[in-house]
Amino acid sequence: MTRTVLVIEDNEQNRYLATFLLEAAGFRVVAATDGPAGVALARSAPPDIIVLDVQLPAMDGYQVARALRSIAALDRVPIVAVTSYAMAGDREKILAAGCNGYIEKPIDPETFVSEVQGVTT
Amino acid sequence: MGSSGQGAALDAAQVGTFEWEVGQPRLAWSAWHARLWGFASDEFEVAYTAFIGRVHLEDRAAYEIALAARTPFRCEVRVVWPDGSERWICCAGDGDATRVRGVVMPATDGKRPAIEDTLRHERDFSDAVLRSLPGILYLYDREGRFLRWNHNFERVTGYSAAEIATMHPLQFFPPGRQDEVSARIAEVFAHGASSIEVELLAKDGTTTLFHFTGVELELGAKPCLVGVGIDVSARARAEARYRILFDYAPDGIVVADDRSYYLDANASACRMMGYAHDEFVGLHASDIVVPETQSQITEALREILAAADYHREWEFRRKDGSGFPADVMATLMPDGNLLAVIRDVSARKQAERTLRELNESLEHKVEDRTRELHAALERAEDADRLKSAFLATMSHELRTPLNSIIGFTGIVLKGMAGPLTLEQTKQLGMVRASARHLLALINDVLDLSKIEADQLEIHPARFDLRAVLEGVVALLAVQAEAKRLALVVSIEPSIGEAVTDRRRVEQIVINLLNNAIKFTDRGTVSLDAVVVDGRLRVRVRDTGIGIRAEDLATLFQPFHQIDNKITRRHEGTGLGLAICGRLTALLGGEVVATSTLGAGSEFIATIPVEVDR
Repeated sequence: MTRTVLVIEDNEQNRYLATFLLEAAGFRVVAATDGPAGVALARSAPPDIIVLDVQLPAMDGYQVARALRSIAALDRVPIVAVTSYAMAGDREKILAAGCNGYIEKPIDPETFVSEVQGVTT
Repeated sequence: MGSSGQGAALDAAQVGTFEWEVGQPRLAWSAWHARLWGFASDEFEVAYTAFIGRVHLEDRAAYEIALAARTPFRCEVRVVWPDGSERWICCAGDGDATRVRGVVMPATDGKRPAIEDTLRHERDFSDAVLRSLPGILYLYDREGRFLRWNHNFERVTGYSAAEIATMHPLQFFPPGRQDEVSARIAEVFAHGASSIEVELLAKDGTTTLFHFTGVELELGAKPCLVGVGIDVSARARAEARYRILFDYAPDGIVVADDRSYYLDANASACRMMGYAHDEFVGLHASDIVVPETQSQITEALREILAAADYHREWEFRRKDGSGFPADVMATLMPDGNLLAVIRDVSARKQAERTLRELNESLEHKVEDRTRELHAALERAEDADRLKSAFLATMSHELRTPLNSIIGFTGIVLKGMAGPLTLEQTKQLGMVRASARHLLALINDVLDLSKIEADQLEIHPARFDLRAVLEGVVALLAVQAEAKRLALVVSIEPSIGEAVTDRRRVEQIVINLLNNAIKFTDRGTVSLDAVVVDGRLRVRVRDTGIGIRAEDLATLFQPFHQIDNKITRRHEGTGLGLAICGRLTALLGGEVVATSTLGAGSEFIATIPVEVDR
């Protein structure tokens, strides 16, 4: 059964990169370009995994993660944060906001998919 | 004189007779009297002075007193013959206002009769007292003839006994004081006693201040004056000194009685209060203090009487009504009066006030400056926040495209987007390496700016230190291998888990090892790690190009990669060691470098870690 990944990422290239790698690994990918759109998508059609960029315009990744976790249907859906070179302290914030784990940018095509799977299992 | 028969009988009995018209210069005496007196002549008359002059000096006054007593007398006197020998003579007689008659005869065995011994002892005693008396003592009659005096009188005046015997009392005083002395002498004879403080005039013309006390003494019926003089020059000098102190003291000095009425005030006190001396004397304490404090005078008086060290500040009021503050120190004097020293402290008060005002104005200035600085600080902090926000945003903006460059390069290199030629693989590999370098640069700049802005937080946690060290070695072993360098690693077997910031330790060790490999073209890079006294010590040594001694000092400052030529050859941000130094400091440790140019370098980082043993 094909699993669905919701990618919330504002940068077109990175969104495409993540989509490309996940689809190449056999996932079905739906994408949102900002937080509110991502939350709306997740609410209407709960995905199996959510890949969430932390640095989003308007509504940042932490707020998005909290919004997602407030939706009952999504409380068990793994959220993988994708963060730029994280500072110490960012990790705690990410996990506190409800994410299950995080991947640091730059995305390594060789390991990205396995890292996502590592967080979700 | 009696009949010749009677005279012969008297002669036979060795008894001499005399008769003296009181006050006459000569007196009549018998031949035997003359003989007893040591005179060879048979003259029946003799000068009174010659007659009295043969009587021993110590007995003379008593004999004269007896002669002048106008009553029957009997006494023993020593008569001094011209050869110096002495004979005790018993004298007896009677007299009235005009005439004295008497008989003289040798005392028993020519010595003092035993019955007179007691009197004699008494006299010896009084002589001794007179001799030892520190002052001078004298006795003279109404006419001013000295009858007795002590030795001190001779010593002090410088006159001999013989001279004194012929002198008048007034001769011992300076001419200018004689009238006064004369008046006091008259007072003694009129009222019985008097005293005077006056200079005693010595033979050599010097004067000494004496206090004389005279008492009238009736010797027989003859009024005499017994006087005692005490040298008060020392006291007078002391008083003069005290007076000078009193007069010239810069502080006000006042003397008051026990009811706080002023008896005396020195010039300073008068000047301070604005009163003439005559006005001041008689004033009451309440007249010279401000009305508000008048009621406290009684209490102050009680305090002064109770304690020896009264010291208070009072607000005084001058004659013109103006006020001034003054320190008052007061004490009770032996005579029961109060002595107070008043120091005008208005100048000091003014100085204190000025100082206080200066301080206040200074405080205001400091407050103003502090406010300005605070505002400046806030602006700076705002600017700093802006800078940090800018850096964070910029680094995000810079990294986002880099992420996709690196990501897509990876995808293409992996062949996921289709097969590549060898040349394409090589060139894309270069693109990816450049992109990664650019990313490292951006990360380093962000790190350093956060450290410089004190925004880098340290998150200590328990982690496997050995695993981290081994991970770093494994990561960099690839680079060492690529340069064909020997990488020698020694990690103390006991190193296990530790508590500190894992990521920062990792970063520090990576930096040091990376640098060593980067600047070494051949030879060995070695790393050894030990934990000593709760501190991790990582030593990284290389056989590289080394560092000049003068460059060691600036080694850990940002953007100081040493030689531009080197920089070009050895890629790097130039921030590695700066970050390394700051991170070890943040972790409570330090990193030091030693080097020999051309032979290699050694870096030792010491970081506190809590270690489980």
